[in-house]
Amino acid sequence: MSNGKAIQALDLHKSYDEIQAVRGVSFDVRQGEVFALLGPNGAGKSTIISMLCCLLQPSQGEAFVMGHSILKEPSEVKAAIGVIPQEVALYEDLSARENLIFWGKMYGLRGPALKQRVDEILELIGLRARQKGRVGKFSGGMKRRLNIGIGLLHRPQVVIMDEPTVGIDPQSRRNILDNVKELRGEGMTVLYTTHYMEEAQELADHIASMDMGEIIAQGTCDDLIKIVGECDRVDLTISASADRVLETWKATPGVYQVMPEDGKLGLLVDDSNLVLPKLFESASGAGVRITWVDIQEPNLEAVFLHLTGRALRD
Amino acid sequence: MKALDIALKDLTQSFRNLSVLAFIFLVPVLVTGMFYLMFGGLGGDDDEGFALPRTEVQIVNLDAGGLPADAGFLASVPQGSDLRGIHSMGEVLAQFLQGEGFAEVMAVTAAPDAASARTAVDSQEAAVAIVIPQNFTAALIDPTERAVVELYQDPTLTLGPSVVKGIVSQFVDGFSGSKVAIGANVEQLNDAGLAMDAAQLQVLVAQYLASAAGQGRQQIGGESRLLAVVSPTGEGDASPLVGAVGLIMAGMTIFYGFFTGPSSVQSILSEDEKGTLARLFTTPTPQSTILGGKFLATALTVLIQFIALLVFGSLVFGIEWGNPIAVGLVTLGIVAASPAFGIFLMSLIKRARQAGVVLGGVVTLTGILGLASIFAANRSPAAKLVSLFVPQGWALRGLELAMNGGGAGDVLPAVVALLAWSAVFFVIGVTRCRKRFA
Repeated sequence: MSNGKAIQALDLHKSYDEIQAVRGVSFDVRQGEVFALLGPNGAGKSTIISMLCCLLQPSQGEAFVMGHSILKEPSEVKAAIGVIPQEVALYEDLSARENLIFWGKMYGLRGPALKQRVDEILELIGLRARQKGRVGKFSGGMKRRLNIGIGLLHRPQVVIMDEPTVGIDPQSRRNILDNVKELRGEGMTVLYTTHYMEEAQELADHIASMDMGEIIAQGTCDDLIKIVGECDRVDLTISASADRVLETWKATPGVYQVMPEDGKLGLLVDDSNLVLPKLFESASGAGVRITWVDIQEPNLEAVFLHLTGRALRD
Repeated sequence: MKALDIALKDLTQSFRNLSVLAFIFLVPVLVTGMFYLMFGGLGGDDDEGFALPRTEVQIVNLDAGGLPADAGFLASVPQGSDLRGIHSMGEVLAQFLQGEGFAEVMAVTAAPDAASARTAVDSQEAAVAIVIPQNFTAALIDPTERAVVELYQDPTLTLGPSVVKGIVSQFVDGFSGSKVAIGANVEQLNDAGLAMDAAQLQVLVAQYLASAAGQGRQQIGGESRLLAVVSPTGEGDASPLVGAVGLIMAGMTIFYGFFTGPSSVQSILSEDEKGTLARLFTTPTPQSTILGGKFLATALTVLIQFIALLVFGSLVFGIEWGNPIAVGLVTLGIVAASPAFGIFLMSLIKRARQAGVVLGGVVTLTGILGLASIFAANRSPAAKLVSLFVPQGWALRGLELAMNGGGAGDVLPAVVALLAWSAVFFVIGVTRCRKRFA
């Protein structure tokens, strides 16, 4: 029985020779919620997804999807999930409708039920008018929508979405996020991986923040933000090399973290109103001019920075 | 059912791809058509397909003879024999070559002497000069006498002189046999104390000659046959050149059929790289069903290709493929072997990018080994033997047997060999694939 848990991961490990991609990951996803696995590239999110989809066998540990063991009941697990892979996985020589029909058959749909569901999905993803068009001629956004539609064909109990918004335009991204919200509204369970903090913050009921194959924190968005307390995130751009102020700023009272990134400096500070004047003063003393400042309320980015000393986008 | 869905999806993709269609259907037809045109198949006045260009032959009979012309000798010659009026083996050979049976393949004219015959070849007025030596008949009677028939040919020509050489060799082999037999008879009689006098020996020679002449007529078919195409299973009536185009078309069909299998199976690699294979594995579809669907798609593609090319060869080139059941059985073997070969090769390759080179190289190499006997001189037995080390060779063997009149029983060993190849390739390939995608 699933005991209200759509997914239960228990001490999952996955190793490739010397590399430990996943190290003792455990989490529960409740039925009907959106659960986000948040972490930078290489954190182990996709490896966990592959194990939950029965594509990879864990080196150690076990997981259950809708109460079915991924080790002992892979067929039942596969029937319960709808997978939306990171890369668009479609047949470009076939039309959108032909793709949906084929994948529907692979999920066991046949006859009038398949036809009706294909029509519904085409409506849902907004491709009814282009249903006969060859997928190879579709835009990236249209392919992404179709990619999602295929994962929803058989009305899965659990939808697994692996970084579905990577490399697409803002409008398509917005559509995908809205789709996820609709799915939650319909009572579907969604496991969503991303390295975009804003997406996790907007969509997820629960978040597991991952780094280096481990879950470093998990809970609701508010739970996680409480980890960094009332810290502010301050991003600065300076006129000279960061080396000239780095050590001074690290030693400044009220500054918890200083991290150079993409020509900027990211700081985690106690109270930006009190700390910023000190930063300006020390920069001036070092002959460095601060050219841009951005202050953010505590968020998941700050949590990740606080826990790992690195930015989420690394 | 899902395997069929996967197969139909793959077939739809393949048949929407123009380059795939060209490779499957157009290229084999073009290659065979090229050979057809090379042999002048479209230049003939009739609809028989190939017309072998007649070979101009000049014959010089220098044989001094040695057979008696008296009534006693003639009386000893069997009634109805062609030897009546003929006094030398040279005349027998000349008449043999000038017979109606060979009229379609060579035009034989008598030259006054050896020099003028050779000159005619040098000036390309004739393709071959045949010089029958002065002691040709004497060599038959006297075991110690050695005679050599000279074949002087234009070195730039191959096909015509080869045909003439084959025909003359056939006769000379018979001549040598007669010579050995006569010598053995005389020796045995001598050992038994029954020495033959000259007259008795001449009668014996005459009887052998009559027999040889009769055999010659049989060998050339007497009535309308030129060269009997004798197969291990029986005789076929087809013209040798229609048979040659048939063989080439069979070769091309097999060659490209074995290309189609690995090329189609390559879609597994392509799907692996595009992510659709992994997505298929996330559906409740067993891995064996997915691989089975891929195999089925490839087998159906090869089947469609094979049937289309056989029908095309029959309609356009006039090729008679033989007993439909036998051809069907061979087709079944090929349809099983080609995809299995593809799965085996694909299991050895890691990336689709490597596939073109590796698949192309291996399929071409095995294709050459398997089909080289078509183009080898005199259909070399060695080439035929080597061809059996690859499935294409067995496919050719089966189809050739069917084309030569073989029935289902005759092609069965080749079909069984193809199925055995298929089983070996399939088991190794699927085992490796399962490990790879596990």
